[in-house]
Amino acid sequence: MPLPSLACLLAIAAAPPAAEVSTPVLRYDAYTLANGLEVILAEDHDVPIVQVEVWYHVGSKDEPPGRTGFAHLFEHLMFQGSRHHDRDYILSMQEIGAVVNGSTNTDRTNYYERVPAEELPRALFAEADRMGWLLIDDARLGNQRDVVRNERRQNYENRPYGAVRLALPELLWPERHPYAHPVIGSHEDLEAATLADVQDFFRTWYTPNNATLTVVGDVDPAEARALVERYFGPVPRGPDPPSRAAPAAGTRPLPAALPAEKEVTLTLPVPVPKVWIAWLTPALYFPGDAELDLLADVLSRGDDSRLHTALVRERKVAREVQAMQSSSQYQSVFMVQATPSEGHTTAEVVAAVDEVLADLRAHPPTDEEIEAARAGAMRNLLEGLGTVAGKSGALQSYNHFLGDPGALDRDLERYRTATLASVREAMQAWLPPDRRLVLHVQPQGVTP
Amino acid sequence: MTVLLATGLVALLPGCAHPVPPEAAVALPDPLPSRAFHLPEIHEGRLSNGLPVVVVEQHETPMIWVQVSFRTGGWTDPPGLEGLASVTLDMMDEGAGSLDAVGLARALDRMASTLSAEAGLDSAAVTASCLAWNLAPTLDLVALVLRQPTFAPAEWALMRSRRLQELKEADDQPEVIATRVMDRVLYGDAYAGRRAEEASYGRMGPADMRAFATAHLHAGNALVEVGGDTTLEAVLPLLEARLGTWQVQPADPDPTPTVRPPRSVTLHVVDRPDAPQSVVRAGRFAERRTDPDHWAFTLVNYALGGQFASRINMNLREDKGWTYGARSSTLASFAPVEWVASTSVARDVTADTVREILGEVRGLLGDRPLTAGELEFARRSFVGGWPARFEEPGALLAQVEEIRRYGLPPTWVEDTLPGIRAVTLSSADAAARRRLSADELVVVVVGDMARIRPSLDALGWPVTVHDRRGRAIGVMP
Repeated sequence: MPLPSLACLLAIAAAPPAAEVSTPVLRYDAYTLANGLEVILAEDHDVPIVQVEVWYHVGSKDEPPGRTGFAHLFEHLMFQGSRHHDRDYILSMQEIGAVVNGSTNTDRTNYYERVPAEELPRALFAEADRMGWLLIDDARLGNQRDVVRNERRQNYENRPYGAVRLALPELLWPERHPYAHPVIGSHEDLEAATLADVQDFFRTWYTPNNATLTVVGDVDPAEARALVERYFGPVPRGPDPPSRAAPAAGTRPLPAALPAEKEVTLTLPVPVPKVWIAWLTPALYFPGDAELDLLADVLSRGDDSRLHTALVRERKVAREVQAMQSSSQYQSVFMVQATPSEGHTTAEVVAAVDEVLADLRAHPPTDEEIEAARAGAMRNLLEGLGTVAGKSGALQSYNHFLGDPGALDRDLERYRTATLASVREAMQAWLPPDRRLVLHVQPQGVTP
Repeated sequence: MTVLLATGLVALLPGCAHPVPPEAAVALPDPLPSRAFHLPEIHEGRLSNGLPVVVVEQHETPMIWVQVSFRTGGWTDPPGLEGLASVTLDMMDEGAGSLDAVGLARALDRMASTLSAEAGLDSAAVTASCLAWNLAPTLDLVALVLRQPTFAPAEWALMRSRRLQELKEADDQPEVIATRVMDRVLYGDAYAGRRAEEASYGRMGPADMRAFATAHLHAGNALVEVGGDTTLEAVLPLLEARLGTWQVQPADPDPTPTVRPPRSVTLHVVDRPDAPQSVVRAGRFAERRTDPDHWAFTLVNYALGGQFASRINMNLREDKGWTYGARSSTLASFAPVEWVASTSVARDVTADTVREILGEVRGLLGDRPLTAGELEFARRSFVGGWPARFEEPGALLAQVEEIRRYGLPPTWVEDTLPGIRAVTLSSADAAARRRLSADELVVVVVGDMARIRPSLDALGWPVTVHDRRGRAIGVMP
């Protein structure tokens, strides 16, 4: 694969005369080890570094009842040492100048290290060892439980409006829905986690046959293949993992819907009111998802956007307003978030948002608006592919959500083929005025 | 929106259980033969009016980033008009030439280009990015913003009300409050100690912005940097046509901030009733960045609190589980380097955390000096991480701009690795002694005073109470 990973293929009519948006091509080599581990290799010889990344196809959506926050707590435990590498994982990586981290969301858990190219063996060895032979005991569990509870305090409880992020999942999704709790979990559930839970979770989800490895960077493909086989080959295969796409047994049928408008007010110790308006929308890469991305752009990107013009410039009822399609595996959330300007209320803001949406339902966006949104979406995709981390993330994401690491083309195609009509249809279908959550946050009266 | 290229780093820092000393012996595989790394080339040119242009090429994606930076910033704000530099830059993309704010946004959106402007205490820049084939029309807009900003009163009215509300919101952010207090104590009412507030926003208007732009945002004070899918040869004529006749005036002089280095340990607190955690900071001045022991101190700080695998974090997070993370960092400015340790901890361990942080500093200077293993760990970490910094052109261009801004030697970037390699245990130890002290520190705690005050009083230092804007409002009895 001795080719540059990006090439120009075709043009869309987006920008000024003769402008063309090139379609990037992400070259890679994908295969599966005997133990079921999916491997994706991609060369990038720009700088002598390599990104090693493992996605385990498990997220907070897969947590058993009473164990909210467990997938993320487990992520922390993966950095505590394994049988042949009984040492803080981060030490072994920072020692060689690596950028190292992991993250958990509703749908998946990832681990990565970006290391000097010559240190590829160390990164593969350490990742393989914790996949096969993680060390777990009460001391490690107890310490990381404390760390995670402090993470919750720092990022949610001690942060203004952090309570909103904790409250939204429960307000948006029906009881027992896989998304009905925050990824960070509750103190109570974190406290309840036992060593047996940890072992069960590891056996069920942390198997080579439920994981995907990417190696992206300044590597010799034959050498990388041999090293991957050497370190990951011996990791024992696990039981067949639950289907990647299907929700766990005992959860609510999908997709979920909000039966009516739900209006909630939270009173918090914050200085100014804010409001969130949310709809349940199609899952990542499903029909309508790209259209809602484009619509969000039309609504709130830039001083010329619909919501900004109406709420901030003309009526001056809001100081700032954002719209976004936040996409996930089972279903997505389309959100409008706004802060009323001084002297105005969240109710006025909601009324103004409704007028903008009603106007858009009656008069669809202009060609110019959609073309600008389309150009922006294409640019975002392109820009993300400029680094080994961006490439690795794209390969992993397409593989996890679409079962095809090479789905970049399909992804781009969604934005290329969206039309005024399809954007309007998505809006009619998925953003009804009468089935949504409106969450007002009112200040408790804090004095500066 | 200020940096030329943002590289995303996830804030989630995962963890580990038993703090294992960096020297721990684990059989790790040997590295492959090492690969050569060469710094990307810096191409320099000049327009006919003398405006310097720097280009770093990167042809992997068809993207181009442009930054026009100025040697100015909030430190030039006239007394009573605190926030003027920041507001002026913020206003530059709210209308220019014949385009109003909406027209400008529309012109950018059509091309999927971005343009923004921002000023900090000692920085000010207009930044743009575009797809490579849209460089010329994007530069048209950059030039328009630089040379003919409108400063429309209606736009200022909008921005002022937004900023007033943001001020109010910041009053509830514990990290922001802690920074305000530290700045007030270290700088008094000058330099970083001065901040925009309701009164200064109330006083300023478009005439002040125009005056600021005329005085500071001109070609004699500017540097143009371009990174990405282009070349110096390609970009120079485009810039010459748009900025070649841009007015040149003498450059701004450097500021010479006065500072108030701590002479003892003092404790400064802000009450945030019911806060579930306390934000803790400990800071002081740590000499000059241009001093020869800069690289030695860089490695000392790596080992003390500069990264995950450091004494402060391993102690507070990995050993005790008191926090999600603790760090110490250095901050460059025109003043001496600021060294600050910071963390957020569960409130019942607030005072103990302060003790531990000071204990780590004292230990480093006393009975637990830096070990050879720690020094090698830090050095290897720095050297190994070096090439990754240059994957995108932004980091190198940022260094070029800093060299110019702070008057660092022109060979600063090339000198870095030799400087790091030359650090010895004794030079590191000397740098630590020269720059750190556990007896001269400003300690700031933002938290629930009703619950934590007794334990803070027991620390035995003088306690000053501050408001959320950082002003001292009294001394605790």
